[in-house]
Amino acid sequence: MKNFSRFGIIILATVFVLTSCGGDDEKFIEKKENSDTIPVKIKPDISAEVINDIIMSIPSPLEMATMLKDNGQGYDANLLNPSTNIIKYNTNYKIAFNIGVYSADLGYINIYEKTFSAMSYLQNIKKLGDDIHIGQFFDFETLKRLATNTKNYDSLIFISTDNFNKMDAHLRTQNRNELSVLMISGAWLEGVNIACQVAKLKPNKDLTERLGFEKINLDNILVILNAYKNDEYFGKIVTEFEKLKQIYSQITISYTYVEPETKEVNGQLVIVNKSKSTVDITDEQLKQIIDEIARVRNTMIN
Amino acid sequence: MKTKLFIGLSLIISSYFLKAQCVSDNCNSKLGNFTYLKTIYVDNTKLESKPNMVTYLFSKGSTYMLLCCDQAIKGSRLIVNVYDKEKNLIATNKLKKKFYPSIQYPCTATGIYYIESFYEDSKDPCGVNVLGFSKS
Repeated sequence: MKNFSRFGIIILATVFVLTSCGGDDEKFIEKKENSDTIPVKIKPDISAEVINDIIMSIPSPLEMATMLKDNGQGYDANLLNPSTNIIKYNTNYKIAFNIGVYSADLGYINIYEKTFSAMSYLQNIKKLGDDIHIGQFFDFETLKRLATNTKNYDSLIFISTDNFNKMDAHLRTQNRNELSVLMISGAWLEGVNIACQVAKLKPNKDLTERLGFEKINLDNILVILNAYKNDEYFGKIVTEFEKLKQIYSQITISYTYVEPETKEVNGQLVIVNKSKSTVDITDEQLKQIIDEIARVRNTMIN
Repeated sequence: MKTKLFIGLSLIISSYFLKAQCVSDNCNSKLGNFTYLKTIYVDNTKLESKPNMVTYLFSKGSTYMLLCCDQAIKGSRLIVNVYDKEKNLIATNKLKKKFYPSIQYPCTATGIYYIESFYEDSKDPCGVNVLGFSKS
């Protein structure tokens, strides 16, 4: 009985250790923080719940990159934030914002299956992630292995996206929502900038419309950025994004609801949607958006 | 006595791992040709009176796949409803008392949509929604 009790204790201890290892927080090692998060934790003007809802609603830049590829647009590495810019990101806020930027770039690279370009972006995200203590959610070794095996694009896309989501979720559970807001804003801005640069060279109706609909995301991102605008860095971003909003304010989006139908196809439920949405955007407005997005993006990455 | 203690410990351990598996991300493997976007975790407190609610911007020209992964236990099924920005019901995975494991939504209207998830009852349910997309 004595031996068996000892065995039971060992099992329970093993379960306890396994449970403890479930959260990566145990591996978390505090590093010296940079000046922009040390003094006073910024209190947002809106609830964490609203911030979380908005962050969840912002679409992945993968969708935009997929649209570009499916429309026959070729890959252009010049559209990306150069990986050498990493040396410029020396505060937590710049780091968080540019993790988003580089993640959007990585998504674009992955969608185009240009894995030879992926490595420096993977390294940058890992390095910046480590700097703000979320690098443990970025499975660099697996991603590196996948990036060197050109047959694993789907897994590469899945793990990259999943890792980004985990880094974002971890920041929010640790009440570091302000960094999460910056990551999401950076990813959005970079994804839209890539699309804008493509639209500048090869405009087409679908892309123009898609960029017009970005008004919805911009409005939402401004809500969460504004929540921290009392901070100097956030105040600066809000000022830049507000200029963009002024251009978008001239664009109208309309929506008409029509009751959808449903049908079963091979055991799956498929919705037959008849609702419609339209966006009114002129060539001149598109040009203004392209120029302004590029200006703001260049300010933020440099 | 030894046997009972051993069985008891085994049950504790196995229930822990079964629960861990329940909320695993393996659901994404059912996405097929759709590209993974998000996993929406739905904890066991989310019942009809207090559903899990997330918003997402769907874009026209994309088809969205929403996987509803649960333990397929009668009475504890995961119900998912999708509403448009005006809170009109667009899709549900429970239709005429039948549960569907996924919803495919070819989007024709860009906008914010609400994805509401809840369990039928609280008999220790467990599940996730996984969202993916492809170009229509």
